[in-house]
Amino acid sequence: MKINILLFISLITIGCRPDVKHSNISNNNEKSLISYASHFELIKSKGDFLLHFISPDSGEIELRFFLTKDAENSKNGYTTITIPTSKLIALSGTSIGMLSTLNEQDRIVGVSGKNYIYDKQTLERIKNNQIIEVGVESNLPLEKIIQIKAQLILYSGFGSDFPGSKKLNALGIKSLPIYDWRETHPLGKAEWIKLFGALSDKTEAAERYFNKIESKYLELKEEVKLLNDMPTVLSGNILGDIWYAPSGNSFVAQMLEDANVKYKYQSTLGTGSVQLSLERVIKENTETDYWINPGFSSRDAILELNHKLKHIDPLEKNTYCYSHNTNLFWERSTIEPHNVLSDFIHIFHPEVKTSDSLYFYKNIK
Amino acid sequence: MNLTKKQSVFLIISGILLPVLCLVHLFSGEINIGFQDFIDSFFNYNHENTNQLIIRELRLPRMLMAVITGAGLSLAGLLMQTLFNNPLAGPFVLGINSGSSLFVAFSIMTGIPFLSSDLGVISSALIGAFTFGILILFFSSLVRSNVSLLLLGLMLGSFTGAIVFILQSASSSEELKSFTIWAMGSLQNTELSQLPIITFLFILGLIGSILLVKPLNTLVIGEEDAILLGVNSKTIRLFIISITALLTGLITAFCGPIAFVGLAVPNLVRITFKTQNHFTLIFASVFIGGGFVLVCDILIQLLESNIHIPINALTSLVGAPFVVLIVLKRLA
Repeated sequence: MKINILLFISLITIGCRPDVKHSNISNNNEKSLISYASHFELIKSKGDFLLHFISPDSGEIELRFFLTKDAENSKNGYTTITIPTSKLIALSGTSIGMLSTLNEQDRIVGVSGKNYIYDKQTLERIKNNQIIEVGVESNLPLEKIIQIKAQLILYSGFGSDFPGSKKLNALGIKSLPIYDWRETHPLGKAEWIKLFGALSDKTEAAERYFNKIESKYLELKEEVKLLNDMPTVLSGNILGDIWYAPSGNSFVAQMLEDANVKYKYQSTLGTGSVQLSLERVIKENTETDYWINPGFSSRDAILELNHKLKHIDPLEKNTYCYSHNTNLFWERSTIEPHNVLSDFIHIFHPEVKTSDSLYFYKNIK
Repeated sequence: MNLTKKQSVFLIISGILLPVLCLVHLFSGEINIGFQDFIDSFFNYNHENTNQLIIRELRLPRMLMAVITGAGLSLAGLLMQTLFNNPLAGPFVLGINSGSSLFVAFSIMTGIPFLSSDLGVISSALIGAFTFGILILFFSSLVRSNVSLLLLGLMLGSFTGAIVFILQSASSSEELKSFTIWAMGSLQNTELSQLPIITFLFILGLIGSILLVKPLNTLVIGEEDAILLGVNSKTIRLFIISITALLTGLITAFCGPIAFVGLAVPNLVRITFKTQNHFTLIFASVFIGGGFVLVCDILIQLLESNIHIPINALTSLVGAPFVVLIVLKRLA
């Protein structure tokens, strides 16, 4: 259906994360390029790369790719991808965000749909028929994909298997799962840019960008670390009869911890979401200072969802959401975690001047 | 009204059980609330006391909505089963719910502010239910077979489902989210201030049904015989559809589509009471239907700390096997 909704629902339905088994690098010629991400490995091996995708469900390596500039090269047990790849189909907003950060969005030949894209250049190329819309990943138009001679499909992996992957593989079209949304550390999500760097032969540019945002993120975290005033924060909203709040080990909880606030459900277990009854949320949040990510961009829309949400104390003045520009958030927040953290500090610690205005978030009215 | 002793006992028990279940429901939330706070929430309300606020603003509307939902849908199902002389008829199966859902989908996902307001959604649900009620009435005049009518109801459901799917793929993420949440069904969305009008409309439907007892009793012997006995068939049909649409639309607007209650409860009532007297059937459907949804919601709240079950899922879990049982019994 919709990428945003799928992301939203997926984010709140992930269970607990298994222990991830990374590869042991014993060879001196091999160097891992990854420090934070848990669901992929990128190992530089001489001039080539070994790319492993680690299943978020089992924690085991599920796919192995050998990225090489020489099409004749191969490695046993690995599927070869010749880099730089062109003619990519990017099914998630974050993939577009990462490619545009590297100024490589010209490689995109297919996207899910223009309604969920923020990048102006990509929108322009859709308008000029240089990019086709292929819809959702569960129902891709295979003939169209073959017709445009796509080489690589970057999918989100909401389901267990990528539908049609065998057929596509037989036709020489590779598909890669982009599990950035399953990462639990904000910098782990951002680190997926290194994969896009390898695919577009811009590894150094990707590393430079990542190092820059890593420094910014850690600096911001350091800046508020010792502040004594820690406001209380509620996150999430009600779906049906259930309130879904990010669990204590989720990336939202991690980011709130880095912003030095008391997240109400920080002590809960799991990396996905915790399910709560509305009466419990109301009972426990009568004196909470802030409410973030209610999922709607106006107070009226929240109250239309459920009038009883008026009893959540911060709704009146201190509720913040990214929904005023959803496409910007989904496309850029993964690759700009420092700006998300900066927004949090701007909201929760107004005495610390990190920026003049909010970037992703907005105080809802 | 001639009730056998057994029927009287059943009716009295179900009548007493309903307020008892209401009380149990009020005490069955996740937060433990003392008796004093419970009493004060009604007679000495202090909105700054969270426990009292939970009783008054959350549990009371939820409990009353559970009763009205169960009673209203059961009543609507009973009327439809009598009208179409078909035990498998009901607002969900015959597409009345689908009509409401379709119109609500239009109202939420067209992006027009008035339509997506509370009033817009309620009006849309009522108009949708009434339109599809009339449509199914028209179909029933064309086909004689009960099975054909059920198939037509299912087709209406599929047809509206397809349109809703198209609307979903063209709507914004917030509109889509609003509709998805509404479609999940919930007894928690109703506010205390909305209850008077909901209760008034429900009572209006109930009184309308009671006024139709005589023609309903006559319809049981078949429409042609009923006409011979002086029943104005066309007017009665229109009245029945209007009441069904009112009850179904009202409940669908506030709680989302809730399945199987309207189908399962009237059948359970007929099996238990073994009567065609609609005075008894109407009150029994109201008591047992209200009690059924209350029990489902109490179960949901008891299980809440371990697993969260949407009301629609639980009524389907309980109702669907019951319907299978009815079908198998008819085939045997």
